[in-house]
Amino acid sequence: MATKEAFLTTVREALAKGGQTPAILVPEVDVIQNATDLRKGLAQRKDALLSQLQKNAVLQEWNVVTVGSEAEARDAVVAIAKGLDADLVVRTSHPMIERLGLDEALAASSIESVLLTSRSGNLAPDRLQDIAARADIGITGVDYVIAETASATLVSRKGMTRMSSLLPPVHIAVAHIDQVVENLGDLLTLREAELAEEDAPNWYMNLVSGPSKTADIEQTIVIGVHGPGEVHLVIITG
Amino acid sequence: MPSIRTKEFTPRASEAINNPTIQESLGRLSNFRQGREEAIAEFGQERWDEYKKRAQEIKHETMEHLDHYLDMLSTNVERAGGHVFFAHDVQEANDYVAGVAQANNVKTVIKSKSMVSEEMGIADVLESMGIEPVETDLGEYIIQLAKEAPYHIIAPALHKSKEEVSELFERILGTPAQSDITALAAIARKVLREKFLKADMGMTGANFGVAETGTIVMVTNEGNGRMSSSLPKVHVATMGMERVIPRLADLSTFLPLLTRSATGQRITSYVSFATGPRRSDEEDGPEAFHLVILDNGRSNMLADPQLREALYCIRCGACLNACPVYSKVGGHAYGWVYPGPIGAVVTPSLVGVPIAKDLPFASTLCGACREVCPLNIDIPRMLLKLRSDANEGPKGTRKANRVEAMVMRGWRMTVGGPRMFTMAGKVATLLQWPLSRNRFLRRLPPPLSGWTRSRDFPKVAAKPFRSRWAAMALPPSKEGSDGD
Ligand code: SF4
Repeated sequence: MATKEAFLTTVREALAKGGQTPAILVPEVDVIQNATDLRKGLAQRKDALLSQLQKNAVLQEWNVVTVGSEAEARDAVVAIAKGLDADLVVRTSHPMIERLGLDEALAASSIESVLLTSRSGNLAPDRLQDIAARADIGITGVDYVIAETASATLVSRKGMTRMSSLLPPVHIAVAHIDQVVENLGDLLTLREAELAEEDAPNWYMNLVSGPSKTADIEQTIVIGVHGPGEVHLVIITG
Repeated sequence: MPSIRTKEFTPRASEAINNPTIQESLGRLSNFRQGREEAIAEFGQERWDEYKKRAQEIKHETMEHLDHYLDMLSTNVERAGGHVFFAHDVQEANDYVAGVAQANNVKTVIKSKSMVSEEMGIADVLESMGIEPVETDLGEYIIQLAKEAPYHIIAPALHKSKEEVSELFERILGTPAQSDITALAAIARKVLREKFLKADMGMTGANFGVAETGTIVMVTNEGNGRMSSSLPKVHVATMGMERVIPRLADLSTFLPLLTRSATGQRITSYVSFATGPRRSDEEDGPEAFHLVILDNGRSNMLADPQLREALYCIRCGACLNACPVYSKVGGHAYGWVYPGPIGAVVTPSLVGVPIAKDLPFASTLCGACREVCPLNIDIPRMLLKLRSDANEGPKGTRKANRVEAMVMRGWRMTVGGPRMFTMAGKVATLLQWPLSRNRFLRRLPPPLSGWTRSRDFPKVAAKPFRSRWAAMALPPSKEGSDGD
């Protein structure tokens, strides 16, 4: 069995290095300051970022709905669910999603809405997958949205199941304009600052940039292979 | 390790050349080429070149300090609660994965596409243990049913027509014949969804392993990678040791290069960052995470200054699409896991020059592979090096045969001096007329007939290039070489 040391020794020999590798100096950066500066810059360019996002989201095959308020966002989500004849939706618990009051609004249209969590409700952990697999729609908030690639960024944690945006055939992501960043570098800068204090930083995340697709048979694009084939991005500007 | 059929290059190449279905499939490579070109045009050529340069610098830095970054990667995976196993060869890697499966009482393994797991041949190992391995990438699933090797790095079932896929599904899954590609994909979705929901172990590759955070980055379109790394209770990721990158921020450089080179996409539908197993505050995700880092001959490439840069490869597949040889002979001719130009470099290095000695010769050295490579890897130079290793190299494996030696001697004499060269050109112009059609020679006499059996040889121009060159006026600023 190769141990790590034996393995790394082979690598060092291949590099013709004797003994230990000298440490590589990493420049000190002030991640908190960087994030603060970036936020300021992004806030000044909100409108430009929004139109960049809208344009790219369409190219990436998102159905884009831009609304002015949370109430309008709720109506938009309900309209999508009704249009799809949904019976069951699962959702995550991003603060903004909570504020939308979706459960009540969907119930009024006889659509069952389940917060997919085993932490606060009465769902057992092993039930989550069953319910998500049966759901017609998964509704999630987002942590950030990248304008350049129209990527909804989902960090998984309490109340934010990975499978909500993965198992149902339709995914609705609800984002606020303040969550829009320009590129991956911006996203990493902001996440890094958020995680700066943590001992074991949560670097699990997913960038979702459109519907699931494949071109594996005759290079013909088919939408919706394993993940959701229909994706909606609801952007709240107010 | 999957069977190595590198010695059958010639028969398998001519099989592909004579198969109209395969030639039609290979014709579709033009979609990839076009997609890539358009994606770069949109990105901006100048910006593209800057990104390429930056990517090369990062890879250079990584490779020169590979021990350091691998150490950092494994430390950080462990800090996040994951396990790391360094495997010297595929045997060790397979034993480890088999052990993990056994310890967890695993019955079904869902796999998302990974070239390293193909290299390991882990599916066969699992199967021999009574564990069901299920490929979940649509293309991989198709070739798993057909019991074939991947045809292309990013499009494993490139060579299959929809009729063949339909026939395969009919025969193995018992589904009715389908001529609609969407319906075929729907069949696979349905069958595989059940496997996803019951699997107890997920295996994925890693497009990048980020040293600074211990994060595995998976770049996918179908969503199977997310499922494989999220639903089962155990996630095992396998990666070649060269896939480590120093920092998360480096992804800003690599991701656009990878997706645009591979499929012409701005980004893939999913880019997943997995760091260790499910954290205590997470709702779902695997309870255990294992990362297997594989050497399996890569350290030989690292040790060889002439081949080290081949480890910069990000497996985008662009060199396959650009290669005139791959575009004719297809993926199976290369006889192992990695086809195309990069395969012709990697395979001899990993399985040994003696048994893969034909591969470095499966190239016209036209340079198209290097031209499109986002890391600017000088594949033609490496192929030349491997050719000479095969011919007279230290291991003395492929002695040039008599004809070849004679031709080479003659060539040296001919190009050795301007007078001989000029004369040879004149003689050739006179000798070629009975063989030529238009601007190409359709058949060369033996021993060169092998060359023209499947391609045309350009006619020797009536007026030599040297005389035409002299006649052309050069713009003063463009004089000299452009470099590359
Ligand atoms: S050698 Fe270059 S072009 Fe070929 S797969 Fe690797 S990165 Fe892509």
